[in-house]
Amino acid sequence: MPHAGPWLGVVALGSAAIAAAILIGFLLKKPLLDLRTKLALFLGLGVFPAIAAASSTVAGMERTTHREFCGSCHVMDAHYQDATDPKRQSLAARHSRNPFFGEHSCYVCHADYGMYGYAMTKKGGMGHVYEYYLGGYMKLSLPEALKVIHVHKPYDNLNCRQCHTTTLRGWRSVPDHEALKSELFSNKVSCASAGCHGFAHPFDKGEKQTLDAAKAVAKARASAGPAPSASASAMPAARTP
Amino acid sequence: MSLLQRVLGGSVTRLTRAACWLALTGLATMSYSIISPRPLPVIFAMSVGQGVGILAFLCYLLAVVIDVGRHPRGPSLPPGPIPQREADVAATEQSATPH
Repeated sequence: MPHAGPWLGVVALGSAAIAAAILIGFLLKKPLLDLRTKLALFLGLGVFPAIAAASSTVAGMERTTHREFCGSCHVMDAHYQDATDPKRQSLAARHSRNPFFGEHSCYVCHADYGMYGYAMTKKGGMGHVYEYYLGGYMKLSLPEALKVIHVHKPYDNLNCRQCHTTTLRGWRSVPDHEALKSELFSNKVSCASAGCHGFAHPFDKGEKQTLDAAKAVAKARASAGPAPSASASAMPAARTP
Repeated sequence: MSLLQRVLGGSVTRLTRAACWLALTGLATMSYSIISPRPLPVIFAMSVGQGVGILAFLCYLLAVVIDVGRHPRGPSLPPGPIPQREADVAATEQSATPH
């Protein structure tokens, strides 16, 4: 979804205001229902509300890609604080400081790509809203939420590869990348795991999860054969805040 | 008496006023979602708000249809002069008629 900008909100509010003025004028003045009044009502009940509905829908959908929107539920407070804190060094925080991600960092990283990616992402978002208001997440405290709420499905490395291409020399020159290529492409090893670039949101990962991720990477490395001499040290690991 | 019969038998003005109130409700929800873009207002505006807006427009269309049905319009223009050919034919017929 392209970033629509604030002007769509202005269009929506302006159209709604014009329509409301026509309708309130009709309700107060109570004119005869002649052709002129019918045409005015057609504008007030049809044309301007349609413009308001269309522009508010686009503006609303665009707003759902903002980080503030994702952080508006209290269970996402820790993620939001982490992403917006300029001193944090987690993957999420560092990507959020990148102008390409900017205010839309949650959406850019978590959106599904592909033909129906936008619709599928919005469908997933509706699931989050359902879980929050009707699934009991709203009643959880933040520490409880961090233990209970996890990403719906394993994070797809394809999302990382949208920007970090795997075909250029910079990526291929890292020995671990080449050694684990098939595991990375099949999502058996995550780019954002403890043994590689670190978790994107490290604060919500328990010791067991960290250990499991490190074991998975080690196992994949072992099955991929002996890595070249310059191993993981070539990659900047995320520092846990 | 069914709801449809009540609506059809009711006042066109009342139906139009109901459409106005419904539309104002829908517009208010849409505007609120712009002013306060949080999950519930946005979802509410895109579902209930737009549904109410569509219902309002349908009420207006129904009111117009009922109004047109009750007061069928006559010819919109006054009768003009008879075209020359028709006048000639009528005069010929009149002259041919035996007295």
